[in-house]
Amino acid sequence: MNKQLEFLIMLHDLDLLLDEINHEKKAGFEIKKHKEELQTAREKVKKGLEVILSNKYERLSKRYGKAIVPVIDGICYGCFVTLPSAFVVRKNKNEEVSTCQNCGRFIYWFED
Amino acid sequence: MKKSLGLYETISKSVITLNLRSRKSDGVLKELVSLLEVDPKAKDILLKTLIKREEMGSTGLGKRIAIPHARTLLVKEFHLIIGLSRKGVEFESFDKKPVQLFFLLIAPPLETSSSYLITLGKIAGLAKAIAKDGRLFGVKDKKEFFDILGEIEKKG
Repeated sequence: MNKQLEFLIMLHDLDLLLDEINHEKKAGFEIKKHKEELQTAREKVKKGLEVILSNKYERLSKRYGKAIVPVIDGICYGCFVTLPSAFVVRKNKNEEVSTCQNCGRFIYWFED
Repeated sequence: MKKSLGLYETISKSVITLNLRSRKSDGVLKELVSLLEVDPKAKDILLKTLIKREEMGSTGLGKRIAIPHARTLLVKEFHLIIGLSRKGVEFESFDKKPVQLFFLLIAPPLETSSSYLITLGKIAGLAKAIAKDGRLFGVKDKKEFFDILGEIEKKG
């Protein structure tokens, strides 16, 4: 898997964690860290990204909520558009950072 | 309205190991994640996310039970992995007791059936009854585990 794509996924998963802090507390889990400390951890992950990708991640997050989405069976799970088959049938697609040709979100490919 | 599944039904579809070997939190998470059927690279990233989650505050509920959990882009569907440690694992639970029973929940970012939140709530709710009953910590095989859990859930 492309290293930059790994950082994008880690950033995405960390953002989900941050989003669910309140739910975690309601469910009875003890959250010791403050949101600021988690933001610091987030910045650390972000530093692993090339500036152009990290800026794009923030821009897409602001616009769509989720900057990176899965593609399953050729369908982008951000905009639910079927992607062109020539784009989908390529091998080792997670070896590079790619974006949906319709909505522009970053893509994580589930390859069967 | 669609009838929601009981914990027993959800768990009967899960992966279970009754012999976790690691005695440390990171190691036990690695053992549990290794049972997921996903890309090996995805396992590494997921493990990092779970460790980050534990750094926020332990998912050890006390009473020798922990529910490590995370949502991630790396899975297509909800996964539940159950692990039993015979000797116990230091997991920074608030009661300081080692954890023996782990319920690892992994869900995709958008999960329409809400199995993740429902199962998370159910296990947290049942933890007290599981601890009071005590038998799950010493089961010999998977059938015994499911039978006892079914009984506990019915009583609850």
